Amino acid sequence: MSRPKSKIKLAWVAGVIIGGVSLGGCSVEKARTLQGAAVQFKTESLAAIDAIDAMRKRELEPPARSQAEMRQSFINRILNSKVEINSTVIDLAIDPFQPPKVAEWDDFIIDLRNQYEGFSSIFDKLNSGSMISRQEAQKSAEYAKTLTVQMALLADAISKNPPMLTQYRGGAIVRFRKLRQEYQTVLSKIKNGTGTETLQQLNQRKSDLENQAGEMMGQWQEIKQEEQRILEATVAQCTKAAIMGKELIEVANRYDNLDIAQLNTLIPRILTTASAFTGRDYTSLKLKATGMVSQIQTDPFWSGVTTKLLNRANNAAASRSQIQVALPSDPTLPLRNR
Amino acid sequence: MPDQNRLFLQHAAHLLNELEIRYLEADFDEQVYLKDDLDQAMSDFSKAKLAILKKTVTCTSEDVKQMRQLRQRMSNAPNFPQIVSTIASFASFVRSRFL
Repeated sequence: MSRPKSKIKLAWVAGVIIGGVSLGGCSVEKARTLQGAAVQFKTESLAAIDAIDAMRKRELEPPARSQAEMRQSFINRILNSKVEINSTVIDLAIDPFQPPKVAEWDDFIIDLRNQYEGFSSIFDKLNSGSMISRQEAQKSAEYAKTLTVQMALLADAISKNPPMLTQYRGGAIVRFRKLRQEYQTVLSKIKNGTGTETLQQLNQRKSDLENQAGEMMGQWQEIKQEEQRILEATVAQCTKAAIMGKELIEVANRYDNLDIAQLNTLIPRILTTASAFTGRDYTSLKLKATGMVSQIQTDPFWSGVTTKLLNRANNAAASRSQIQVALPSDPTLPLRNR
Repeated sequence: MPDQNRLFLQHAAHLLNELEIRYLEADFDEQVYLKDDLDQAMSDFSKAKLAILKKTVTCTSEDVKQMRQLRQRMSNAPNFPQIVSTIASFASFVRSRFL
């Protein structure tokens, strides 16, 4: 596909809007059409960032507990403990499953949000009636392209590295292990005729435990379904933002050659196409995410930004690959003093 | 060719999962003993995942092999000192190689 080479044409919507404002009513209308789409792009992208943030938090968080459960567990823990009671121990007894804060993730999410703020501030300026410089417009265009590529790369990376709700799984596995132990004890009592319970009582307990195992199978499947739901929702939202950004930027790049009627057809079509990405058909969504990464790597219009981002990543990876860490061959280490 | 990043994260997630199971099965005094290490392991896992998602890390087959060994060591750890020792190895490996 041939593309205009003029630098200013690469300046995203803001650049288009500068031209539009100076050209009269029809062009202003064109510019406003793109501005509306750009706002939608920002909204979808911020939703994608929220989805990524939620995904990484869900991956470490524990299952919810009721206030009554928390209270009873606290009482059991604190009254049966032997450790010295201090404020840390009390907090831990109230909630021993609270995951740690991971500053690197917080910084990453803040940085992504800031980039969108930088991108959108240009439009706030336009709405307030201020002049927008060509430099600002070009900066905005670079933001938009970088953000689009970032979203595409993240969608692909997340689809290849799905989330695992480790605390949910852990809790379920512990319950499975306890149930199996109890079941096998009951079986042993039935077989050997030991204990104080009657055979009928033991058979009833055996039946109850079998029912519990069946229910727990359902709970396990729910955990797996929830993991899949989080994966699909996150990949869908990132892909949606990336596709919307890519198509809108490409339209903005052809802006001079499009009249208002064409824009009014193209923009809603882009928005409608993007809104169809719900994650319900995950196989095709995953293919779309992977396909988009190939596209932005090979398309000359996108490959510059993509290569820049990937090179930055590859350089970081290369510097790390120099480091090799040997694991200790003997895993038995002395008890630490704590 | 299998995706080394994905395999690495799978082993790391299962190691973390096994650690959480040990923590859940522990009594409260033992949980007090383990909590800092559990937090450290969770944090390191999450940072490694971020590095992989940002593509600032490319896992090698050697990384996958080491993480698989650590996962097995965690699964087979018979007592808390060995669990703690495995977490220390995990933290050292992840931090030096990935963070």
